[in-house]
Amino acid sequence: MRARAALVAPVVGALAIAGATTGTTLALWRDSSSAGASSLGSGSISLTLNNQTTAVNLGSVTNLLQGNTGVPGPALTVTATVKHEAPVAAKNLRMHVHLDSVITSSGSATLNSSLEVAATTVATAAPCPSPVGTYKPLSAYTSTQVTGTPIAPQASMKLCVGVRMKANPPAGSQGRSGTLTFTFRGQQA
Amino acid sequence: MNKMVKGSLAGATGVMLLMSGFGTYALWSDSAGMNNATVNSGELDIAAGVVEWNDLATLGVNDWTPATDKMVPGDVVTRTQVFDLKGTGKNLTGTVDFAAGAINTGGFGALMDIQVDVTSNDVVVAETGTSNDYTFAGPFDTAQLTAVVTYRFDPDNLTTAQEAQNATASLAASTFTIAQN
Repeated sequence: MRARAALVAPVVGALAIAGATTGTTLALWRDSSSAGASSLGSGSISLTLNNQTTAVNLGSVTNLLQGNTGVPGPALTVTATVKHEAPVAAKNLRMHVHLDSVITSSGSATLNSSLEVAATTVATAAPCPSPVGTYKPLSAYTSTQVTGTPIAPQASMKLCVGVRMKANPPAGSQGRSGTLTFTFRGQQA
Repeated sequence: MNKMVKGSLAGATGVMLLMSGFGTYALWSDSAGMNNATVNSGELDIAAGVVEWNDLATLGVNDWTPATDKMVPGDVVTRTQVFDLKGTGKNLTGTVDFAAGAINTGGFGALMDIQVDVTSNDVVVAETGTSNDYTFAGPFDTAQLTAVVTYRFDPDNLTTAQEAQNATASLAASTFTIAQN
């Protein structure tokens, strides 16, 4: 009999402890509420010229000198449409357009050193201003902002680029031709 | 005595006995009732309010749609949610503990900073030494806690021109637990 009692006692004790633990959990009030999970995404920046992400031909300008006189003619202007291609959802992503460089892949050094360039942007339906802007030598363009008002996502502006000969160009610039490559960059405003 | 006399005596005796019985009600007595009594339990509750998303780049209210709007470097966006507390009951004391969900900065990496701050304008609840946890030393009827999650896209530490584009960051569900001590 004593042995039997010894077997039963631990079982009863274990049950009593389990019951007490459960009862304690329910003895006091408790409530909870959750703030739902959340996530946020980032946008992206991209610009196009004439709806192209690759190099585009802006056209040609000729007769920067008045015939064979060596006297500079009026500045000539080419245009393109620059568009901020970021999705509208990137609501705070305003973009400035910078002209990072103007390089010559051909032509004479004399001609290159005689050219001056200006660039700006206007509304797509507006005419380019005259003069386009402040003309500077090609080498002066290093990350030069050409936009006044930054462009909103999915908005477009007309890009105006003026080219002219500087005053009193050297005689060696006559009868020359070359190719100018402009590098434009969109940067978050 | 004949039977008629005996019967009369017995009847008279019965009447006397009955009349002496009425004499019991002549003694003083009184009674008092205990009115109906009720006891009421208090309440301990927390409920989540509406969520408001704000774009701190603008002065608008609830002007960020997390499902569609996209962050850019420099953006700071907040998610604000008010939690309504109820705590009644004379001897009620307890705590409100906040368990923040897991933060995943995803493709933002170190450029995304996510902070959670819980505040209250009600003096009946006091923040403990542990940030965002609160305690109450007695019943407080009603109070509010405001949880603000701030997402900041760091614009100063980009290492490439197009870093962290089309990235996603998340904060898992966070939970307030209000409990009686």
